[in-house]
Amino acid sequence: MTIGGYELVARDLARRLHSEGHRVAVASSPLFGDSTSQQEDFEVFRILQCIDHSPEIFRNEDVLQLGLFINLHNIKAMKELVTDWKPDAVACFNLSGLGPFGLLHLFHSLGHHPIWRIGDTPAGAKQSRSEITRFSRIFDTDDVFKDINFVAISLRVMDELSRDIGLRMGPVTLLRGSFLQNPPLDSQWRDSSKELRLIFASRIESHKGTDLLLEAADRVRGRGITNFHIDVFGAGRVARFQQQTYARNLENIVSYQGVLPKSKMLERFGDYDALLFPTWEREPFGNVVVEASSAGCIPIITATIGAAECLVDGVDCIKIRRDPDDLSDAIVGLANQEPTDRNAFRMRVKRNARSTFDGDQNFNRMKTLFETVAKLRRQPSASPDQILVSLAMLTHIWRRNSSQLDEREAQIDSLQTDVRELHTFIRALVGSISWKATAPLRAMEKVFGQFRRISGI
Amino acid sequence: MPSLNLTVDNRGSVLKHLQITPSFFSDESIVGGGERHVETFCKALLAAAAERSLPIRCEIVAFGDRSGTVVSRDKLTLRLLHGNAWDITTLEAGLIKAELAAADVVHVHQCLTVFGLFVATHARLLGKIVIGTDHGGGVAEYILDRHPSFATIYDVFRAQSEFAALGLGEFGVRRAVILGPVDDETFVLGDSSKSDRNLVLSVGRILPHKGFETVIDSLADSMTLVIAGRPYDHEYKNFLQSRAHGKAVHFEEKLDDAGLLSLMHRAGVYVHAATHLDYKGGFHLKPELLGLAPLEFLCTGAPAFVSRAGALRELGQLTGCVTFVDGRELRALLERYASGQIEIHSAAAIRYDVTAKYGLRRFGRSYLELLEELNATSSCQ
Repeated sequence: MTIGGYELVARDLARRLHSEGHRVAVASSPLFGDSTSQQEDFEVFRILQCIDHSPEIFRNEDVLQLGLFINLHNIKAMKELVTDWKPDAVACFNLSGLGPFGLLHLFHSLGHHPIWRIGDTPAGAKQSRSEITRFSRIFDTDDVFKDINFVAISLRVMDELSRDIGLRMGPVTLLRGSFLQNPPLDSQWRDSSKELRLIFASRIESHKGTDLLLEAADRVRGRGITNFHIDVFGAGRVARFQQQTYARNLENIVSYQGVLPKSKMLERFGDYDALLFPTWEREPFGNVVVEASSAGCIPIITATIGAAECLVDGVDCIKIRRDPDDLSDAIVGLANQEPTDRNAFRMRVKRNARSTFDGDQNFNRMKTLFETVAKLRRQPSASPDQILVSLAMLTHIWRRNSSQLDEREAQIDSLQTDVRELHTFIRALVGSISWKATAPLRAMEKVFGQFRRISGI
Repeated sequence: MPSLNLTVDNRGSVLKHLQITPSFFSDESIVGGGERHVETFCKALLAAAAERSLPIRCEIVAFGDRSGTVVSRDKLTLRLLHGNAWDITTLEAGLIKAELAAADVVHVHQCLTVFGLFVATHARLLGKIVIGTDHGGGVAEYILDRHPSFATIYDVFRAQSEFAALGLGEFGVRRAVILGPVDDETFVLGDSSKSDRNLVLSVGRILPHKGFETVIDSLADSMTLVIAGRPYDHEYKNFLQSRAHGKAVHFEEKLDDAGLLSLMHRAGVYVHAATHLDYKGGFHLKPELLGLAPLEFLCTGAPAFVSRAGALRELGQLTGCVTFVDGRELRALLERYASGQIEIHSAAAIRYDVTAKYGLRRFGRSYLELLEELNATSSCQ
């Protein structure tokens, strides 16, 4: 059973498990359907409530609590599904927006050692470190997390979870890339030619590097190089992107190609010399890097992203600082290469990608992990209904506790402001009246000064 | 008695019974009820288990401003965890769970408070048998008013009186009334030749719901009253002192256990005037859930007059115990007592009846039966 935002990687794994004869069910939300996918042969339960995790909405505390911590609707839905369906193993994919901590507590209480595949840190987690500590004091999250089998897509993600968010984690398996069957090494591609063919395939958003891409293209052209072309695929802020392309007079160099179904997209990477992926520094992984490099399309990537952890600059990819100068230098370097040299580079990238991002190996390791956690499964500690009530109870206690602490913090803030203002007032008073008359005020000013120093106000 | 196997612990043969209580029974403790109770509870359970050679370990965990281990007067060990149980923000689930994990049965005192529900929930998630007792320390209304069924995290509510059971009726949880326990090993018969017939004793924390002013007002001229208890409400204490002006009323604020027993042996009669409606008009839903002080006094073989507030009316069935409705009735009772118009039962008869119904043995045996039953149910699941 897998659960999550019905991400593509979860779907790939479910399909492959199903094709091998395993019984698979997916629980997800109605929010994130893949419009390009066909009807699945396995059971899909769209029963979960996903809280949209855009930063604008996450400013609302209640929504944050539902999306990041615990959503009792989802707890109940999963309690019923797990009770009816009786899975041998439970794997969770990201869980962002579904109330991941609560769901993990539920599975643990029901006797499972869940697998939690982390493709990114849960939305809102970084901003909620102190609330996570509060939650953990009530729920004892450490006790649950020690029994979770984490499957991380990169070290960067694990670092964020442990260092920035402060989670104490159980065993971690690093599985980079997908669970798809490895593509054949002799898959078709288009040989490099005089014209450098570049592709961008991701969300059309600034943080994925679209602005940077246009700026770099402009600079490359400014250096007198015109034998290159960039095709752009993906959904997002397309209109804005096209307007910017037009405004920069780049429409002959940069072409927006729309959105392709996944399978079609995979076939297209072989047509290009290189992938442009100047994404933000904290990109957890960047699955497009696997797809492109497996097809012999040289990834030009921000050096700090998750996928870069296992790639060698100049051998498996080209790593750049995330700025238009570095990106344009990388493009110019490739444009100036002889097509035969570029072809050789591409062939090396393709060959190395197969061993670095081995989908077959990832799938087999995941299956081993399923077998391991299935063996670890124990009797539930209480009846499912009692577990549900218990988690609901702890949720009430935590939320009340949290609001009490917030109230106290607000009172302390207000007190600090009052003390600061009073101190300022007394100092002003001391300065405005005659020296003799100020003796008591000076004494008071001294006391307030000491109080502020000691209390840190 | 059914002869069921009590060895529920798969790792060994000893049943581990843990009582967890918010209050450390110290001078600082104010909430009451569960204070000496847990200790007496352990004594009763261990004694009953020993009678039948049942292997039981009885442990107590409480909370205070420091962590450590405390050995009580009865050589019972209590582990003290750092934290204020009345302020959930100071508690940590991990530490509490570490205590709960080793137990087979968890008995939660002040079971309806946030603290009680918090502890019971973790005990439930750890798969323990969970029993709760309310001592009137409060109700987590924001949870239980809206979701009374949340209380089903408890396997059973054990009530110390019929009145206590009444307050647990709305949650859909099984209730087991096991009266007491009163420590009849400590509170023993005194030398009746040394007692003062005109010495009236009232014991309890100086709090408005104890209704001490009713005793003061009802005192017959020939009588002396001693009110023994720590003053937790100074305004009320001042009120009592002004009310006692011109009367033979003494306040004993710092008596230890031995001093209290000695005072009981000297007193001729005990009066407990707890009330639902205090001197300021304040209403108290649960002024007495058991009435431990009059029960202890009855164990010494002397008579007691108790109001009908809370569980006190149930004491009216005991030999040597008479109930009164209000100050007028109490005054009449005391006058009749002072003039010798009330037949006083023998000390042995008074003690026999109270120990038979509320004593350590009776409590321990009944509680063991409950454990056996719960254990059998839990083993069947």
